[in-house]
Amino acid sequence: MSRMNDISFSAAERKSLEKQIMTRLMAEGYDNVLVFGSSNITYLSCGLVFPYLDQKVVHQVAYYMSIKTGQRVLFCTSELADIPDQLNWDGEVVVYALSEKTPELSLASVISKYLGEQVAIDENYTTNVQLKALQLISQNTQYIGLDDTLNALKRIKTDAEVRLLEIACRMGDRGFVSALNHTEGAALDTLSYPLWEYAERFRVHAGEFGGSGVGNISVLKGETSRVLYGFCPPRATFTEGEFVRLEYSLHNHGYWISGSRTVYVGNPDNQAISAYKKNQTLKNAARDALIIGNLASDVYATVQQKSLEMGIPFWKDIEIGHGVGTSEREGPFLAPYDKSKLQENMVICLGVYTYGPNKELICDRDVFQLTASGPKLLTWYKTYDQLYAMFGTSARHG
Amino acid sequence: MSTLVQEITKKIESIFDTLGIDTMILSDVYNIQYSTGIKIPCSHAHTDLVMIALLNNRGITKVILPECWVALAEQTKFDAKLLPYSIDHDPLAAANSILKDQLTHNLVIGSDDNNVSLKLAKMIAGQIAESGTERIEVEDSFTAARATKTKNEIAHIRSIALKTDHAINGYFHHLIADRSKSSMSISENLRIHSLERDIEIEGYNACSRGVIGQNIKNIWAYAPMFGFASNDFTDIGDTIIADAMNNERGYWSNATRIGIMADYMSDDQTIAYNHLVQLRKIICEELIVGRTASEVYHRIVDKAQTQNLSILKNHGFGFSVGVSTKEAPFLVSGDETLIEAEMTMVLDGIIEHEGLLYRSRDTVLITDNGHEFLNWYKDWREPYFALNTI
Repeated sequence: MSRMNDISFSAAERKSLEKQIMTRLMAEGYDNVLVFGSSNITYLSCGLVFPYLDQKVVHQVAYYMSIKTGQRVLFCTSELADIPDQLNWDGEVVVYALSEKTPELSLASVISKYLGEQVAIDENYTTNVQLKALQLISQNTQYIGLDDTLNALKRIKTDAEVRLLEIACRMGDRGFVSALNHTEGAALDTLSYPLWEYAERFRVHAGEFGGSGVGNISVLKGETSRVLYGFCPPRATFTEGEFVRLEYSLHNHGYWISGSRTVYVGNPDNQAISAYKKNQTLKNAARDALIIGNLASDVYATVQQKSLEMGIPFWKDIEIGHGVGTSEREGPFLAPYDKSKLQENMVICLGVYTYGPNKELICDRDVFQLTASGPKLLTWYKTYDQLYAMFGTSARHG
Repeated sequence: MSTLVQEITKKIESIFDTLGIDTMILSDVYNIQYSTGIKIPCSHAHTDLVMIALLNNRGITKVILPECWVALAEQTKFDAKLLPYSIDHDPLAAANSILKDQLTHNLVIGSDDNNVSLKLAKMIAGQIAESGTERIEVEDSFTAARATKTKNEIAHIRSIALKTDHAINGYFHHLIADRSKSSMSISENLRIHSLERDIEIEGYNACSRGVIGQNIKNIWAYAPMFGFASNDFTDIGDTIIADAMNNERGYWSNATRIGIMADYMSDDQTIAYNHLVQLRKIICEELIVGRTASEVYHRIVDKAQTQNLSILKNHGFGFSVGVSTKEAPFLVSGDETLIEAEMTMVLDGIIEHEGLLYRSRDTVLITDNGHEFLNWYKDWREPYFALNTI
């Protein structure tokens, strides 16, 4: 099998992950599990992905597992019912009709027959109204929390999960490089190359290189990039001598990464080059602190210390990294409050926001797998340790 | 003429008056956006970060949110004081602490926490209980308020719905039957043609997708590349189903159209498309003010069966659209919501023919006299026909 070309789980990889999940849930004494969160559905089913579930473009999906019998059941509306088959998933699919007063009651009515005396649910995602619907229909069932166990499980990736994330990293990097390549032909053609097209080129190419979907997209330039995310006016174009930052997330078969890359339009001056170097200094300090056994907050403290030592201020409104997996943002969070211990095979998205000459936020985020021998870069496709200069002429790149 | 902010404020005042509450705690991100204007596109995916809006009956709005979202909130908010929390503390604990400080001197608090995760709902319920005030559920009031649109909301939805249809038609214009297109290329070009019409770039559910040929047997084809599609190519005469969801000024469109890779339809396509047109006509005829959504659903099913239309079992015939792409009321068998004028509904027609699913989504404004199509850039009683060659 080609590690980077087979972009989804093999049957063996899926079985292996499933075994790890079942072993842990059994050891923790769970009988039945019921989850509603998209990331938990993808994780526990070992690969099921539904369209825009978090954004409620489709009606709620639920996933049930009996730890004792191994029974796996997916509950969804008819429009989604063929997706498990498309993804070669072989569990049971139960379709629910919206025949009750609310969608939550409709879903609860089909789930109820599967529930035993006790079921563990994902309280991070299960809505209050959904639980009330379940309680109304299954009055003898006790509902207990699953989040701590699930979060602990999800944080440590199997080799196959790392493989899918590494592929997602390459898809993202190739998408970004392609966006650069297109833009370089036309960045300063203000008549025909708007700023949004740069972001859109990323999305398009992430798909062309095999990505399954793009989540976050925000493109910011010049002084408007003093903020993390912002509105991109539809008519905005590029200006020579400005930083441009792209924020993005994307997934490969339900395995998400997020990214942030900052480039410069035209020939960067010394101030711009220096600002970017400072960013890399703090980022490298953070990277070097990604050591197994450190606390997540230690990494943040390291950057704080380096910032003080070097006189390099950084933006403190956001953590400097977080886990990625079946969601684009999960624990551990590299922030002062998170005392989680860093462990082998966590996968962390890392980047520090520092300031440009005009207070622009500069960031260059990479994804690392934590290993015994140090952090292993998964976004290896192209490095951005030097400020990338994006040149443009009026010659349109097709 | 009133502004959008004035119109929404009036609606919210009405909720305060009707329920007799002092303060509202909103934690559903769509309700927050509706009432404060604050739209954080990633908030659905960044579930560890908590955002809570506090509205009081004197018109003062405060929003608790992470510092990293403040700038975006400043750009989109109507008129709210932002109460950010830092990364020094766990987001839930930090939000909880600010909420606690804000809940003083209330008699009755309304909350929509039924719509959010148990974890967040428990935190809010705990704070309300601790403050010793009565708690009233406001979810239904917000659902009802959002279901009927104000003049400015209708103007926004009309604009984005028409632009989206224009974008789909704008891309279809490039189709030439003897020049094969991949579904991925179609998906990409639908997106590009949307953005070319000044629609704001957006991540997540700003989805465009082209489903082609035999793959139209699946509603959500190409799993998991739902929004990217695949490397299958059109043949002459293929059906293309184009979906596009776009956002402008916080309001969504949600459209589906059919193009044919020829300048005529095959016999099967003709049957299917005519049935789709008939189904649309039935939905429009039955979608009448004063009926419940459930009644509309059952009447459509009865009529469709009488006319031998092959509709999809248990598939609803429509839903509302507004600050989210799909919201209540739903034209399904269980929804007892009364249909009212000023609702904007997406009509969700599907016809099954020879194992394939022919789909269409129109946006209509419900009026006292019937309905008005908001997204007919062209007359969709006929599909788009590609040029045969050029």
